[in-house]
Amino acid sequence: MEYILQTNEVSKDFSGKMAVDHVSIKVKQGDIYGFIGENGAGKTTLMRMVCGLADPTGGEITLFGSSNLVSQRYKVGCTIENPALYPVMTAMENMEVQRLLLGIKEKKVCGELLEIAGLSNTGKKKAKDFSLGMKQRLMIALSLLGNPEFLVLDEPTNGLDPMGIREVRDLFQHLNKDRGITILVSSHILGELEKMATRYGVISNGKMVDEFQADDLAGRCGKNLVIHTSDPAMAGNIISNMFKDAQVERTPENSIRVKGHVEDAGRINEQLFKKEITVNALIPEGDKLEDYFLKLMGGHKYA
Amino acid sequence: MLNTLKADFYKLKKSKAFWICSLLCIAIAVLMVVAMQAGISRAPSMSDPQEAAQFTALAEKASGVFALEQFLPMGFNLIFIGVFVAIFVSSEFGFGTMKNALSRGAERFKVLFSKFIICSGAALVMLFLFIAALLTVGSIVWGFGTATFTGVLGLVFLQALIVIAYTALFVFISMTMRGTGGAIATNIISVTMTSTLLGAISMLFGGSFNLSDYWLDWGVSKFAVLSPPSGDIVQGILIALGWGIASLTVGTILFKKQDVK
Repeated sequence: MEYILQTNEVSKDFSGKMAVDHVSIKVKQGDIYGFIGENGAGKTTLMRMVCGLADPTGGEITLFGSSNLVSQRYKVGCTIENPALYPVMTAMENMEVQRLLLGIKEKKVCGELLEIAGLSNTGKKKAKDFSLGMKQRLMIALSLLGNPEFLVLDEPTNGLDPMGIREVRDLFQHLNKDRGITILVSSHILGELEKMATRYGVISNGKMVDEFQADDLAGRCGKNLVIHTSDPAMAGNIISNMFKDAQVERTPENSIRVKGHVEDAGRINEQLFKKEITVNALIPEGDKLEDYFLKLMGGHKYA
Repeated sequence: MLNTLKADFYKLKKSKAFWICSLLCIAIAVLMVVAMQAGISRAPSMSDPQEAAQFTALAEKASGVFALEQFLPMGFNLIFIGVFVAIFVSSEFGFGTMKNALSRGAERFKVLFSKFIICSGAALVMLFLFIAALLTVGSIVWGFGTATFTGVLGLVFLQALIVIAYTALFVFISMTMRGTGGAIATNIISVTMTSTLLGAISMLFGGSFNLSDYWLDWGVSKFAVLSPPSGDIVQGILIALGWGIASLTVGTILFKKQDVK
């Protein structure tokens, strides 16, 4: 079984509005699949269909190579949208409900997972008194009950501080590498996604726009040249005159970024030197995932 | 199914609504007996002779068993059961915790049926507490009354049947409405006003038949006597089964079709 999840032309129609429009994705075993899209693009709706919370109006979903989704969902851990917890229960009690639901015999597993999620010291504190970050961690611990082989995580880092985001990222990478858990994760923090995803899917207005391996990202992204000079304004003018198609922009660090023309670095250096502009550094730079995503979205939208 | 039941039972134990509603069932039963006794005690000094006569007549019949027959048809316990079921079931949608069960492969019918079974158990506990409180306090104040143990057992059994049917309806309403406030309101209305509304609708059609004779409340009042006629027993059982099965069937169909947020 190569694919953990396959959707074939899956659609979801809400009273005439296509929230998900013939979307086909393939999540391979061992993938950390970064699912990207602007707000309302259809990410959550697709994840909800995968998790059995909504029925597709068209297409087919297979989990672990089987169309009998109910029987396969035991192997899938999910956190969809807001943390779903019993507010008057403690972290351990919330875990206990899910443990009983899944028919897990060993009670100690709840404590172990709370330890992994960094919630072992919450004691009698009720979930309603948790911070959003703590609730997210508890949801992750809940989704890990029953040793799932596949995690579906919708915005799991929402509400986490930078330290928490890093810890969660490390946790996902540990689960992926050491336990072999395949992960489908959506996030608006594309920089974080870029640090762990092995494959990406981009969705916009309910339609799949692109799907690619992390290794292909560099090939899809544009190459730029960042130049640190003594006179960025003059240098920008010179480069604009050198190349008709040159797109030159100032960076926040008061350097200039030339879109493309990485291969012309030597000539640019020569020309700037002739005009007595000191070049402190010429750095080739690739677009990041965020830049590529914005390019796909037309440059004006947000993930 | 067993796992779903275990998880729901654990939630029931942790449910404040269950314990509060159970205590309220006891409290309202005690209050009813105490209030009736207060009326009986004040009867000789009442200025209204009709009212005084009513309480004097009550004093002659008053007993623990009489308290049962008198107060069970009022449906206080059903109101508390309705409130509890609304909170217990619809909060799963409010908190989003229904997602945790369904996303791990729990079948929707089993989820609904488990809720029905656990809520029925809780409803029976509330009914028994209400009955026990009425019988105990009533017996302490006036004596047990003339009734056989099997007679009381029969009354309890038939009331339990109606309570289970009501619970199925409450679960259906709560699963369908999903909002706790709306579900509480609808459950209370179904206990307190439906019979009157059905009676009024029947009047619109000339009054040749009474729709409220086919509503669960009919069974509540008819089964609040020690030896109901066998015809009433059959009709009451059919009504309870009819409403119970219909509620679970329609509830399952709707739940299977609806998306869960």
